[in-house]
Amino acid sequence: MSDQSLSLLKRFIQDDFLSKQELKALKRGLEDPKNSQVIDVWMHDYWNIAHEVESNTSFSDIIAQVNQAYQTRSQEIFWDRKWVKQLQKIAAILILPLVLVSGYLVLSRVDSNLQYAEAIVPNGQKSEIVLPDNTHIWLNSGTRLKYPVKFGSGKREVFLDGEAYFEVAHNANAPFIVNAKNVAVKVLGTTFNVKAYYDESQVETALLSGKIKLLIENRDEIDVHPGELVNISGSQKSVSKSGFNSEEIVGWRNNRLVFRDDTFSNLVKKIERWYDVEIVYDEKLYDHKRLTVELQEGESIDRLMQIIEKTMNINYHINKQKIYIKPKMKS
Amino acid sequence: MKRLYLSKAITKTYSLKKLELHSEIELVTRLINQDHFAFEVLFYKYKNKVKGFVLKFAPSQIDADDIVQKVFIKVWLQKEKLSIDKSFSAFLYTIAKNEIIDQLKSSVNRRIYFMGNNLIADLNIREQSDNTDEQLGLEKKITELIHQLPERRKEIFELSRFGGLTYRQIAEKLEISENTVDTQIRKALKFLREKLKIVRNNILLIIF
Repeated sequence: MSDQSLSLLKRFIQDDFLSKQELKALKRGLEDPKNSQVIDVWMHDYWNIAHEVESNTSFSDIIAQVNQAYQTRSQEIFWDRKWVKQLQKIAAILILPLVLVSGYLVLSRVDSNLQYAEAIVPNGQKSEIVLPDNTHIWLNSGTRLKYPVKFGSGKREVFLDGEAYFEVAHNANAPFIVNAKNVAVKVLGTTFNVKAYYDESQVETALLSGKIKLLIENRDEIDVHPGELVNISGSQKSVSKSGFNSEEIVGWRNNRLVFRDDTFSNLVKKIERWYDVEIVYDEKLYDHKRLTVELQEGESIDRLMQIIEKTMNINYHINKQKIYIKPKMKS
Repeated sequence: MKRLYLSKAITKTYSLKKLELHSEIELVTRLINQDHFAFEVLFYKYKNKVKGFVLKFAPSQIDADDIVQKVFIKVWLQKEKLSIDKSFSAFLYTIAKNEIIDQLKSSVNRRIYFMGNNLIADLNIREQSDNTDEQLGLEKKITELIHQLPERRKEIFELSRFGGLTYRQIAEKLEISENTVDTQIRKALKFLREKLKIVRNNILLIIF
């Protein structure tokens, strides 16, 4: 691509004003096959370094569009055949049901493999589900779990975004696998808690009984023993093991909110999910603070905020679903 | 429950190279064999990268998520072209690149059309000026005026005239009624016509 066309293209992409003359030059530039390699080089450089941006495209939309494309395609093939054209002349109306049936067949074939269901627990709520194999799963606030409607033979696989407590029904022939962010937890039958929120940089797995393995991309697998908590954090996936207080880890199942030496930003995220509120505060001011709070079952947000107000020397006010936190004014 | 949530649930489903979990080669093999699950895992693994890539090359009137969607539809429809010897990333890049270039081309075409036929139809400008300077001034003025529109109205107007969307598509995209789209576009055109009339008169005054 000539330098001029490439610079026109760059200006166009940046929403700069282009005159009609320039637009026409750009159109010619884009259509000229001589330029395709230059464009390719330019774009390919960026492909390798492109950073991720959350896309709202849903998979179900894609399946719907694919089905539509198949329908159109199968109709096109259909209409091309000579005998169909003959038939069409004789009785066009007879063909319609045929097309519909072929469309239906394509549709049902495409859908037959999609047997996953999704449990979605909004902020401020908790939920419990029982899978077909009698595995019990408790889901904490702001959690999504994708699971097969029917388990096939071999492994039992679910996908977690959020926090869940598992009591996996034992089945030596079919390992149970929890995929959570960049970690997979593989179990035969056991009780454990996984915390892997999409918006947090860590995955925390705590084992209460039984035995599990953690599988991390490009790493040796990690055996976890009862009473151990494994924290995998950051993009480096650094692994640390520690013990845990079971009330702290699974207190949420009994509707008890527990923070133990939590960073302030973690605390905020927990509160936001637990009470379905939004907390507005200056991150710089509280970044370094850590907090330990244990609440009794079903405590109100007011009570919690009063505790935080005292321990951290802040002022807060609640307006609808928003909580504003400010440093306390000196009086 | 909004479908929006579904996508996030397994956004970070990773391929695991150990044991029987999915390696990328396994996923690609399964995808070639029409396996929906493998397709879904690859979708969640790459959709955000594709979006980041598209954003770099898309002017504001092109909807990046729309391209992401088209790219993955093509991945499925063209999966026969995949091979386990070639990287999935390279395959995905080619599809994404071609889709972006196609969108850019039609976007440029729509702009040219807007500066031509639409000026006559939309804005009551009867003929194109032979005077290049005057024509350029007019084009610049129109662009300026579009930028003066209230944010929402401008968005609707650009989606219609530069994005090539129908009123119904705009209505669905922005979750408003078709009537609102129609009203907003009428108001935008009225504004442009009135302002341009003044400009034209001024230009005429200067010339004569």
